[in-house]
Amino acid sequence: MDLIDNLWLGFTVAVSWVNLLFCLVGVLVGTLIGVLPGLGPVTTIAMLLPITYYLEPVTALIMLAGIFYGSQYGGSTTSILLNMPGEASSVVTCLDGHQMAKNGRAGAALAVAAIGSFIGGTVATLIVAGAAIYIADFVKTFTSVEYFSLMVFGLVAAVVLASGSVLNAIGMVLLGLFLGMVGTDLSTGAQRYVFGVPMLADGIDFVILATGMFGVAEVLANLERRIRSGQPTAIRNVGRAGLTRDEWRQSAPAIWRGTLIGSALGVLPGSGGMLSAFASYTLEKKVAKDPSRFGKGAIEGVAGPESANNAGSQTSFIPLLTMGLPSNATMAMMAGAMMIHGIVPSSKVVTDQPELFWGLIASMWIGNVLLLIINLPLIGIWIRILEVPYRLLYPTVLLLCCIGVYSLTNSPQSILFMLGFGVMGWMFLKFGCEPAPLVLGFVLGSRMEENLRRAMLVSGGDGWVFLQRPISLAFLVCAALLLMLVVLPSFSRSREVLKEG
Amino acid sequence: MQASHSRAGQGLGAGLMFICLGALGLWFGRGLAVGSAQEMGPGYAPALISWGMVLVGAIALVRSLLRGSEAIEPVSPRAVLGIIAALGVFAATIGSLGLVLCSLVTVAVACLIEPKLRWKEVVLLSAGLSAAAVVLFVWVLRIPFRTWPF
Repeated sequence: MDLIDNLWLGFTVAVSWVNLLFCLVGVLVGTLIGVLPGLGPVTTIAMLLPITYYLEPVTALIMLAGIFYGSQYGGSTTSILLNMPGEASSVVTCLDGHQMAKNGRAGAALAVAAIGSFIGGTVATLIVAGAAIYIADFVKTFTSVEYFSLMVFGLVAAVVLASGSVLNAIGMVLLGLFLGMVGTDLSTGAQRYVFGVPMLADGIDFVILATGMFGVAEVLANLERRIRSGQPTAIRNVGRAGLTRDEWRQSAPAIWRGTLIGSALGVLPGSGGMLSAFASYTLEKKVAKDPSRFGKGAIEGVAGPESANNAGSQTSFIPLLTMGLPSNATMAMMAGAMMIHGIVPSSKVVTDQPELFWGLIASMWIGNVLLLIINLPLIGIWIRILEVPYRLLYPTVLLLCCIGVYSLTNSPQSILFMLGFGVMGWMFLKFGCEPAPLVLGFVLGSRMEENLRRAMLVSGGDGWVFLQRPISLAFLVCAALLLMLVVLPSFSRSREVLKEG
Repeated sequence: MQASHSRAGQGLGAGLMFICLGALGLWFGRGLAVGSAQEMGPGYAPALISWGMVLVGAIALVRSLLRGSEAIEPVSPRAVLGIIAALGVFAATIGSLGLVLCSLVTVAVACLIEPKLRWKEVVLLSAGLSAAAVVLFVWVLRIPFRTWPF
């Protein structure tokens, strides 16, 4: 009964007209930007983060969440019609989705993506609602020892399960932790790495770091890449949107399997959406009677991964909302948004801010309904947006980043800091280092230090305490196992496959 | 597709970068008290992490020297300088010129990065974005920006 009461509370928050409006705005803006090639969800959220400062915390999170799954849905449109993944998790959708479009079944591919996403999202939202209280209650028994080990596990898992070089990712996490410690030390009051700059005394501003690394650096990298490759052309002929009876029969089980896989894998740290989509595609290919259809426009190859992807992006909220542990760059952005409003993401959010927590969950489902309603009728508009050239986009992104950051700090100096982080982020990309682990480290940096400090103070400087407590030990063992996986040749080979799509 | 391999590739760059960052962290943190494991000073965690970065960098460096790594993609000076110029112009003019003119100039400068310039498009885009910025930030969000230089 508790669950129903809580969901009721959530819906009363989420259906207030302001929140409904911003949920709609978020979903629309997210789809719009997700459709645009070269702009993914993380860049979008980074760009719009400053604007949410002026909203109520619940409204801000509802809008950002809307942007997140909206852009994920938009990304699949780009994959199907353009054969260009708008973001990492829709790489798999390209394989069969674009083939379907070439066969004149783009309408069916888009429809099944929308329906699959909706079912995946709905089931996953229920799972989030059901599981959240129990996990949060469990986490509340943690002391700083368990918290520290949990964060170690989260960071290690994010590094191992993400794409790209593990070594570089570890380096980026360390750099992120380091940057998170710049500013006044919480317990001693000492100024660290401030260099007499007043802006740094409170630490590096998350918004400046995020807009620099994901806004400015992305633009720079895209501009360079574009000089070497032309603009691809979209398939304009969408065909009939409805599914034939055969297509229904083929996709329905795929949607359910995808939903289950996605919900389970989404909870894991690392790039949840991509992993779920890839796992679902592999499974569909295994259970299919005729696996040779895959890659030639099999509808299950769109239905499964799209459901998995969306289910995974909903359940990836679980670690953030119940433990304060962001599992990927997008969730780090959400954590940043909470911190802007003075909310520390932790297990306390469920009990201390029930309106925020349940309102956000209810809005996830509403957002999925809105996506289903608006997307299919608006497909004509999305197709036209697909063809907006990048030369009109990047000045817009740059200006939005600048004004956004300036509106928060009111100092031209902050723009130069953003530029600095932009150039840094671009350099990282040049050296094959993804900036996502850095943000995870940055968000956790000072909290991790605090917990380590407290744990060591209580234990009298004895590091064994982390291995003596069962829960802490379990986290550390899991982290160690994951690290060992990387060394295994078969695992690193499958990581390579994931990376290349 | 096999990317071209090189001894002076991404791995070497990443290795040197992490070593330098770690070294900088240690150097500028030298004045911070490290304390003991039981009572950590403000310098304890930063020093630990800096050494970690040096270690990661060293492994990356050695690995790239032994096995080589993917070549670094060529730098486009036009794009880099263009971005620096555009954001520099914004920072320099937002305080004095106000939002309208500052947006106009920033967008125009950003457009210059594109090799093939289409003047009509540049004018339309900068005017449109400047107007949109005023509508969104000043009218809708009611942020007290200076809109005009006077």
